[in-house]
Amino acid sequence: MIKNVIDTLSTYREGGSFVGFFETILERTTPYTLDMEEFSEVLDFVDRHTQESEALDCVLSLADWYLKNEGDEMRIYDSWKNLKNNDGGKFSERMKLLLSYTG
Amino acid sequence: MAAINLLTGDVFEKFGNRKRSGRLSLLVDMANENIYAVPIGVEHIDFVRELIGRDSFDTLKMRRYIPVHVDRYPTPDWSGDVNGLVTGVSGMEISYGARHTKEDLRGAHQIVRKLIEKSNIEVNLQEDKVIERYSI
Repeated sequence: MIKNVIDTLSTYREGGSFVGFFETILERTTPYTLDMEEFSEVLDFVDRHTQESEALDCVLSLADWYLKNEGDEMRIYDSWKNLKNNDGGKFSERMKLLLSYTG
Repeated sequence: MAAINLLTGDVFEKFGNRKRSGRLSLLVDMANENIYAVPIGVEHIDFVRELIGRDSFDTLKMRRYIPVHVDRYPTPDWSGDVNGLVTGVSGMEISYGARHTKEDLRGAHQIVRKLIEKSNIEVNLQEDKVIERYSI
């Protein structure tokens, strides 16, 4: 479950490569449909733990991971856009900018 | 659809603020260096399919079309500096698997950089990236 991703993210300790840590977690987890709360939580984690040079890699990894879900590409892409565009003001400006590159 | 050879105020008025304030989404055809602006409300994938054939999802045909995002400080009269230039990523790559050569990615970035200079727009880049994650 995505909860495992969020729980594992919380084991991150400053000092290591967050991008590597994040991508490893995603690689080990089958993509699931995220609800807005989960999506927001993961993004907030990325926002708090990444430097400028790393943040975009994490956001693109998250997008790639989410879009690996099986099924109709267009439907999943629409679902991703729905997540990133309907945050209700929760995402930081930095995250909004990075998400905007994903379509 | 017409190619663009200068980033005029009219271009920004018509195509600017796509998905984000101050954003102009360009697509460079590396076969001939034509530059197109992606219209507001249209996805990259749908725009490219207009160019390669509506029935096609052929990612090989998409290869030569490189997305370049131009961001300006948002002002009502489009007088703000260009503060972002990011090449190589859009929904076309992420969701539909389009891939490009590194050479084309870097080339498209430079082509748009030159277009901005030619258009006499001030540049103060906070973000200047060629994303090679979706390259072959």
